[in-house]
Amino acid sequence: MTLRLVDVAAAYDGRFLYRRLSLTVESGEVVSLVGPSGSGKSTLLRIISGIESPISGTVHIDGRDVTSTPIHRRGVGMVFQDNQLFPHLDVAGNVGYGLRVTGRRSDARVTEMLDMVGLSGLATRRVDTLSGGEAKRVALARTLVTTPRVLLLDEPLTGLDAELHDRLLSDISTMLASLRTTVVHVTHDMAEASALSTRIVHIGQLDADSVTPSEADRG
Amino acid sequence: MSIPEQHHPYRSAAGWLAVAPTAFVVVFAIVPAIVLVTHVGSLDGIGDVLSKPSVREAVWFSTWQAMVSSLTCLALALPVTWVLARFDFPARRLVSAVITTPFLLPTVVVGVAVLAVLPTSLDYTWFAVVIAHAYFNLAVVVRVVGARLASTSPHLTTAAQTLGATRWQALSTVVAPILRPALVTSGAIVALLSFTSFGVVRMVGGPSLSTIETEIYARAVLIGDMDGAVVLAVAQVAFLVVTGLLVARRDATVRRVDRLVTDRRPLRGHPARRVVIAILVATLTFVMAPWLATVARSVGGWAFIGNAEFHRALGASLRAAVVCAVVAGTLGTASALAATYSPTWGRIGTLVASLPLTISAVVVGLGYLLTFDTPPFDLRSTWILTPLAHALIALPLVHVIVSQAARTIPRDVSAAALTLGATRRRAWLTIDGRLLRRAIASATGVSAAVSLGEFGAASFLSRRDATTLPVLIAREVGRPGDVRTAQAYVVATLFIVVAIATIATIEAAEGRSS
Repeated sequence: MTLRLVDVAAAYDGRFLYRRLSLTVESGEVVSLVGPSGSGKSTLLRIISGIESPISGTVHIDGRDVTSTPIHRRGVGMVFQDNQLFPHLDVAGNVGYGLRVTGRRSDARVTEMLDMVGLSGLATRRVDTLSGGEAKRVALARTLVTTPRVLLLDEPLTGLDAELHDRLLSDISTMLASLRTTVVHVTHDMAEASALSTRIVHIGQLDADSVTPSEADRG
Repeated sequence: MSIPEQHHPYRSAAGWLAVAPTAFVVVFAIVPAIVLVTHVGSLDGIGDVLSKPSVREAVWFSTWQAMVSSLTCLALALPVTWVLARFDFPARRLVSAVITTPFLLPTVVVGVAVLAVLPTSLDYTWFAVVIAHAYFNLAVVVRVVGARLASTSPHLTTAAQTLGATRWQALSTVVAPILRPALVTSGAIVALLSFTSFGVVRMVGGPSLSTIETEIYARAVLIGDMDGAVVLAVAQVAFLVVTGLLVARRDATVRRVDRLVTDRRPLRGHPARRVVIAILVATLTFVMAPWLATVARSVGGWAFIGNAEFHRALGASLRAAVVCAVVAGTLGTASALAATYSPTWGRIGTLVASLPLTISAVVVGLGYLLTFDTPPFDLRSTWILTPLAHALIALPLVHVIVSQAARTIPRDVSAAALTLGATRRRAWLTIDGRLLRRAIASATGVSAAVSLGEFGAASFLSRRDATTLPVLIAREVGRPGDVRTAQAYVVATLFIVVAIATIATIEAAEGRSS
């Protein structure tokens, strides 16, 4: 699935983050979006997923304009920086959620996905008892099980200790290689970006209207 | 000196601390309860009492109005709960304080204030009773459900939507299940408080509508059917103990704290701001209109504050408040510390803390009338029974406030003081005592406030020459004549002013400390 952003404008706190940002991610490509804090990387993911609307510009998936398509019909999966696991559901309940609400309930798929992220023994655990690494794996499994057309990863390894960080990085990297999904990955860690992606893009370079790099950085 | 981790450094003091509160609860709660139960045991016609038409009507009305009051309260409170948990705006704390105020008002004042604002055609109707209960309990729902909502990330619904859920599915499969325990708990608390409501029903229900509580009062005080009153009281306590235990179990699931923290969105520029403003205006009007109506009704009665009758009632109320604050403050603090320092006393303390939901003030009043009328405990002719009843009612509140604060003090802090050479007494006074000072002071203040506004027990125990202010309001409003009514509204206005001033002071203090 090809993802294309055309002349997207977004603002935060009364200031433009970018005015004409364009980006194309080819089918199966993993793009890492880098840039300083406050440069609008996460905002861009929220625009792609439909959580926020751009001030102007369009979002296309596989040639179709999805700018005004509601979040749940876009087929864009997102792993949130702080996971956003559902506290009232156990691990399997969280992972199976997307299948359930779209009428595709499948315990086998959930089990398979838990195996894939290395959490097969934790299906009935409460999510508030999980470690940081386990919670991140649940968030990842919950998103991947819905087989999204585009996968968005918002700083997936932030806040993990060094050992966990490296282990999860290698696991995610293996998973992404096997899935061949179109991925946009946001990070401020260049090492992480090089390990995961096929292409690294600096957000400041995507804005056709960006006057100076320093202004884009500040935005 | 090494301290085993499972032992609190002050554990050995727990037994001593528990002596006085235990003795108080035994003499002033358990003995009267036993007297009530044995009184019923010696009666023949229990079935006769329960099958009387007026009793059956009271049971039926108590039950259904409690359910309807609870649902009405949820319906009125949920919109503003959502607004306060999800949005940030300049007067947010002020709005929250205003909504909390009705719960701090004496039930009698709530009753007369709601009567003042409703058209006279609705006076003494079930509708007025339901509205008054919803008004009084608004803060229960806002606090209980609001705390849950505020600790639930607003991004969960968007997370659900990115997984394919529609907006409605996100609401029904994520938000609703998370809030369900809080909704059930707050709904149950409102239903229980409405079920045992006395002051509101006495004022708003008039002579035609009675709940079990007002029926107990009518039988014991007005008709002189003490046996009937006691049967009803025991039946009610038995029913409430079972329900109270169920609520306490539910409550435990609600209190499980999530680590998620809400970020409230600024209201300015938000697409939902018109809806939010409409909700705020409607809720504030609902809360404040009865206050203004009360002030309006007080016109023509203000000379009453120079009257000797008012001075006597004020004196009796203040005296009761001071005694209640001292007794409940001291004993409640002692029981809270015992519960914090020893697991055994902790379990007993939890039981004590659930008392107010099961034993109503009216039942306490009735129990005291029956128990303390024979030597050596013939206290009926003294004024001390009213403040002691108030202290029993306030004790669980002090216990909860102080033990919550005490639990936040790490035991190693006290242990550190001990390892540095402080005696246990000195360590407690210089560390724990200092850290608990505010909680003890505010708990003592709450006890005084409970006493000032308490009506159920005082209706039974107030002597003619030591009538408390809430009893005075009920008496004045029930007497014929516009001046009498205006005088009742003068006292009600004073209560409202004091409640607003109290909550404003607390909010200002909290605002400064945050």
